Amino acid sequence: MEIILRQTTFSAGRSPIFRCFRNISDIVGSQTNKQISRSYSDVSGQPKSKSEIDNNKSVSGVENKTMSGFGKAFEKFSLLTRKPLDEPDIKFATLLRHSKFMQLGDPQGKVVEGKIIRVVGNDLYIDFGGKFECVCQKPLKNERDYVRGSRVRLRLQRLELSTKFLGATKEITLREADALLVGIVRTPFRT
Amino acid sequence: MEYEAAVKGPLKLKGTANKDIQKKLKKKNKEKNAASLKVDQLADIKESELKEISDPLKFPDYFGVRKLFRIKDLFDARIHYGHKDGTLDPNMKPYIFGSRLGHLIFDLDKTAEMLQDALNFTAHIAYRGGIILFVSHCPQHTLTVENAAKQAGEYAHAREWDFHIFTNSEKVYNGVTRLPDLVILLSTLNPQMQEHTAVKDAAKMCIPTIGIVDSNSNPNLITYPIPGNDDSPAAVQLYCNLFRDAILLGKSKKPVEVY
Repeated sequence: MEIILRQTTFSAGRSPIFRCFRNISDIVGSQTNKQISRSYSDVSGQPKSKSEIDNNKSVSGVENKTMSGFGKAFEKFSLLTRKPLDEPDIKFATLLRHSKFMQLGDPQGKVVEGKIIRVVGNDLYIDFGGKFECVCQKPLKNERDYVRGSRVRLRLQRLELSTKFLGATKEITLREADALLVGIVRTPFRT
Repeated sequence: MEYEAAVKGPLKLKGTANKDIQKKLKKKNKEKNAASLKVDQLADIKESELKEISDPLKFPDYFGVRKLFRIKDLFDARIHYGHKDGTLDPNMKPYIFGSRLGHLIFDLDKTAEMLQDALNFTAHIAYRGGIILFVSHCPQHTLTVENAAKQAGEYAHAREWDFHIFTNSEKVYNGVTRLPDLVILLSTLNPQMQEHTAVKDAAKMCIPTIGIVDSNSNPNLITYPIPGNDDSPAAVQLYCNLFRDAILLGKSKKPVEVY
């Protein structure tokens, strides 16, 4: 409840930080603005006393108990997307140990699912969650299924194409992964 | 005392700051009903608030940049992925967590610390009205970098670098030019896998640099290197967002005329 009231007062333009975000929101769009405002509302938050909340309430004119329409929806969605900043930060070693990257092991021959992020002529640039994206040729069969946003199945060969050439001390990297296109999982066109 | 104040809440908005003072006064008045004490308390509070406002350099994290990201955010943006063993620059060894079947992993604990320093520095530069230049030569990320600079109200150079921009600026621009006060490199390599000219030139012109150094880059000439992935679009997007937020945080506070 406190958080919602805080956010409503900020949206009324009472604080200097949100004043400049209001200008930027035209360029950025409401989504990013909300993300920024979310983090700042948690940052500036010292636990406020009841009297302060009452003061805010009276100025902004927001009812305490019953919320309807926008207020109700806002409350629902702010709780869903709120980041638990009070929880302790998960350690990197733990995150890494339980990551898909570790689970994968040797990438050679592993089947993964990727998303087509770019189509340039006959080439599909597919992102499967690794450091680099892989580039595959668009197959002739079911050509129109392979568009930007389609999910495809890949058989990985290498996560990064980098080899040492004769006489060199360091490897040269192509900044690309190597994978074979197996099939399609989901297209935006067909259900 | 000042450090405690910073930890508790350095980001005090104008409206709420007054309310906090009022709250403190109310509490103290409830305990002791003395009219004479009121004035002293008010003076004490105002003095500490003034100290906070007048010297942001005394605080380790005046703008609260540490709260802009968590290690999970860095992890989700694939910042811990490095290149392979064969392309490792020996100067990057201290920042590597380990190697998984030839693929290098960055130690995000170290990255987080260095990222916090860099963001804090950026916020301070923005606070003092410095010019910040985002530099990147990767064609994939040109749009991301330029948008971030636009949103932050700062400048970007995400195209091919003209060699004499910094070192011979008077000839290039036909007049006395003000060079940037900070250069943020989203990638310290150019598409030919060689060190970006901006690194060397900024060092020559005594301009501090912040740079994202991948496992194949050399961090030596960069003032605030941030070891991490510079190739994935998700990673670059995160860096751009963080720098933009840090700049906006710095600009949101009104600097007090000290000189």
